[in-house]
Amino acid sequence: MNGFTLGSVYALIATGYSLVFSMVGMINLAFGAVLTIGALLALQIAVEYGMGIGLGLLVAVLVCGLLGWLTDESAVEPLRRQRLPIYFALLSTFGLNMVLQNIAENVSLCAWQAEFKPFPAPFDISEITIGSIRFSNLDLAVIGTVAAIMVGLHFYMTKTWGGRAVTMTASDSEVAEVMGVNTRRVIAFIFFASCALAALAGTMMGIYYGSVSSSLGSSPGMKGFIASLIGGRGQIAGAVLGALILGLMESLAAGLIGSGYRDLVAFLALIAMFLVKPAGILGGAQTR
Amino acid sequence: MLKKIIPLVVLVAWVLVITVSSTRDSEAASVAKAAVAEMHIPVIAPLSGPLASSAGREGKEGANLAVKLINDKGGVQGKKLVLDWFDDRGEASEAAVLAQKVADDKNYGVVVAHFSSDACFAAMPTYEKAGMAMVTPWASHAELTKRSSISFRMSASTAIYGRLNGDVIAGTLKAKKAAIILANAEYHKDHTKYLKERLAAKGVQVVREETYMIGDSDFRPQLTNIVNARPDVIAIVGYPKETALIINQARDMKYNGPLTIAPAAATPEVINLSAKNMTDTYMGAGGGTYNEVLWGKSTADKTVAEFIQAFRSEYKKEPPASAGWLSQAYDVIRVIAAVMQKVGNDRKGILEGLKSIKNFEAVNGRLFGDDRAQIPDLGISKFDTTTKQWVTIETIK
Amino acid sequence: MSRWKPGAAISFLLLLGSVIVPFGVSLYATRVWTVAMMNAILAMSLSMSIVIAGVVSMGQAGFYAIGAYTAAVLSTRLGVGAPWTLLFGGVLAALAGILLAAPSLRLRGMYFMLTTMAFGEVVRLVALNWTGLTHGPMGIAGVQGITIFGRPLSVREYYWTTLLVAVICYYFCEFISRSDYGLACKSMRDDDLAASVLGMNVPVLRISAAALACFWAGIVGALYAHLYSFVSPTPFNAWLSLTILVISMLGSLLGPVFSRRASYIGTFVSAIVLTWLLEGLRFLQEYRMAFYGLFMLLLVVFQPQVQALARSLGSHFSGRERSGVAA
Repeated sequence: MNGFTLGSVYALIATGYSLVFSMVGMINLAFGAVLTIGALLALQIAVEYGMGIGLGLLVAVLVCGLLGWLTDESAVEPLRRQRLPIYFALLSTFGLNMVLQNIAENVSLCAWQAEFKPFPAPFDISEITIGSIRFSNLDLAVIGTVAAIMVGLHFYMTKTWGGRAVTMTASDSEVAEVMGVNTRRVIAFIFFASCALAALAGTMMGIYYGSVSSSLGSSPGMKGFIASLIGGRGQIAGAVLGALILGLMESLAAGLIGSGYRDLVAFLALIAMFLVKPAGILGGAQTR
Repeated sequence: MLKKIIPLVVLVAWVLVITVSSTRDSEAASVAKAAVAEMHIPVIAPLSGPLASSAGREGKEGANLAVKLINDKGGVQGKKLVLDWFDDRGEASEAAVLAQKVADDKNYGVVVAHFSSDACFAAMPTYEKAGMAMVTPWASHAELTKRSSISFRMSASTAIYGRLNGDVIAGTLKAKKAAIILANAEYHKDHTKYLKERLAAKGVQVVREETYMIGDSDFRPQLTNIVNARPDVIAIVGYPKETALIINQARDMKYNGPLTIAPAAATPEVINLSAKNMTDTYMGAGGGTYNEVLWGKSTADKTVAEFIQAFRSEYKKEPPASAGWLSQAYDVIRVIAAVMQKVGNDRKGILEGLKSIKNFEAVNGRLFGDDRAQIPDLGISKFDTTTKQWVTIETIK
Repeated sequence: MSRWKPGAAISFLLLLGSVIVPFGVSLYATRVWTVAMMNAILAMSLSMSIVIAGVVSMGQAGFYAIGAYTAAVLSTRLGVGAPWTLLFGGVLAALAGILLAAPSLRLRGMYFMLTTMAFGEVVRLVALNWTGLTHGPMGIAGVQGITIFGRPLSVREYYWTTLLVAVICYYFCEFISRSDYGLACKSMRDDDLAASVLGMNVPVLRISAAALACFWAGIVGALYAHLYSFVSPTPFNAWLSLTILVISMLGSLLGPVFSRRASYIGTFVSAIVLTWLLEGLRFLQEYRMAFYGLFMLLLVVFQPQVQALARSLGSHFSGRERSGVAA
């Protein structure tokens, strides 16, 4: 069951990447650092200042959302405005990632004087056993939250006007503009939302592992974007599928070849996917 | 024609500016150092990057503490001791470049560097050419002092601790089957090599060996494989963060057997994160010196007592329970200052001086052994979950 | 040949100027200049593959690593020395490049870039795990330095050696760009359907361009191994690949300042500038990387403005207007 929990967190991260990818056609490489900052903030507020996990989460989500907006404003929008090739954004977001990662490292250095800090769970962990499967209520909470978000997102995308505007902008921004959608605002909003998801994912990881450090985001961030690319352009379904497949492949590899090769498998899977079908499993034809 | 010469002039000017500014920079600094009554020691450590908050910060605290004590007592040869810090981010390529920078400066007679063994290896040739002694407070690769004649290390070789870990498993715990989980990194592989050597010698079978990457947070796949192999003991070879997570996850998986950890993980952070899970957890390390004594249980050792007292008065807090990196940096500065007191800031003199040291009393045992490393006072400790402290259960002569 | 003159003269003088550098600076600065030269080789070869064939690789660190490890293994296990290690390093890296490029031909834009980035990481991870060959994280130590008639090179001599390779690379890139092969590649880059109709073998052109870039990366890798005498997987990461790409980008922006035609001298200069920038920012201690990242971000975002500035500077210097289109 624990694999499922982790997998669902990865699915959340992958969704964050997918949202941005479907919107502007490129990977936001600053995502990992934002995730870390979200977790650090949540920890700081919930634990160090003792204000409880609810407030911590809220602040983390808001701040990270703002960071997402900042990413768009500084690293992506200028490129679109000047009609530069969008893959330049890989470089600019990478630069931004360096900045944010450095800030995260220095903050954890100054504020905590420690490499990592314990992140106590907000409620008592109790065990539940069904048949031969053992899991804790924390697992349920995480999976439940992720599932709720996914469902909510799906509902938003398909049923509300705002969500449909998002979907329209994703598939063809020019048509959307013509139809009266303010694509600029939609993109900014999506960046905000995806980074808010990052904050949530980071906080959940912090609670789940019981600790937060400045290198929290790098590995999951990478796995997340690989998962989203493998799964394909569909925002939610693709992310979940990709996370599942990646998780499965990693466990298989760990069992068969040896655990050191886990990361390697992820990258090889990405290359293989690209060679076979670049748009991912659920993606349509390669348009951009 | 003139217009074509302009870019040329600009280029030449730019080349000159860059080169001149880089020479002028070190020259000015050199002149400044020689003028004032100061002795400078360069220290190269990870001040930024992933290792900064542990090794970098602790190293700084320890080294600065030693400097303060020394200056309070009149400095070195009457001059104030000053540390010049350089950041190598724990990386070999940065280390190599910085090594050259330090070696170029004639005012430096010795260098305190680096954290990781591969940074040391990359930088050593440069120090050798410059005839400069390199004293590393933290790196512990077994071959460090074998590959070069100018290297000294503060920590005992991983060979000693690896074999001690084996003794704990075979002797104290009387295990027949052991499993090892280690990171795919140099310290861990080194330690495991000697651990397995000792286990083989004592007839303990290694039923499973699993690796992870530093920075991993999820060890369940590896632990599942290990638990399924049904070992008597699990040896966790890791840095603090991973060790703490592995301990927690192993207990979560209902593995309740004994665990051993490597000395690198004997830090307060591990205790903070996993104390309640550290039942039946052992460590072969320098017990009897800083572990127990730092808790104030015994002030028999004068050097340690002095260290504790200085730490308390300077930083206004208790020294952490396992101040490995901190105290090693402290020891380095003290031993170098002692040598510099006799010979001044001369490279050859310091190198010879360090080589001739036997039995210098350090917080972490005695310096230097035959291979220019620390001679630790060894012991075996068990973690007490009620007091949340390591307790020495056996001292080894 | 007359079209060569203005740009060639300035470039030649620049390169000559780089020769006198070690005489005025400390050994430490010479070392940094050596690193700058190595970055220049990586960036120039990458620029070449981008300019002629549109092959943008975000994984050059992987080929760099292949060159370095080849040299390290050859040196420590078989006692092979330079220049053979350089040759083998280059060839192996080129082969790896062909291996990667061949199936990736039809990928465009971002997908190709991400594939190369993934490949770079794959190389690093393999080096980290294949302990039998590469000693994993412990790295390969004790690589022999380069010797001339039995005498090992000094720090300054390493610099001149690397500079020599960089200069050769520079003229190689210039030559290739202006050769028939280069022109064929460029036409393929612009419109590969038309090119194949005209009888050009598009896949071969593309793959060979990639292979050339990887070849040079491998050669520099071998130089790295000899310079540092120690090879470990850590430095060959995505950050390095992206830094090289940024140098290339800055290089193409600076190009117009020095020469009328698209020239690799801009890349040469920008390698030196950016390498020194990173060194010079040391005084920022912990915040060094943040500022470097900020610089990267600003450079990419303000690219058109920098390009316009460089163009106007360049045309001002040479006293006439440009057509503004890179060859």
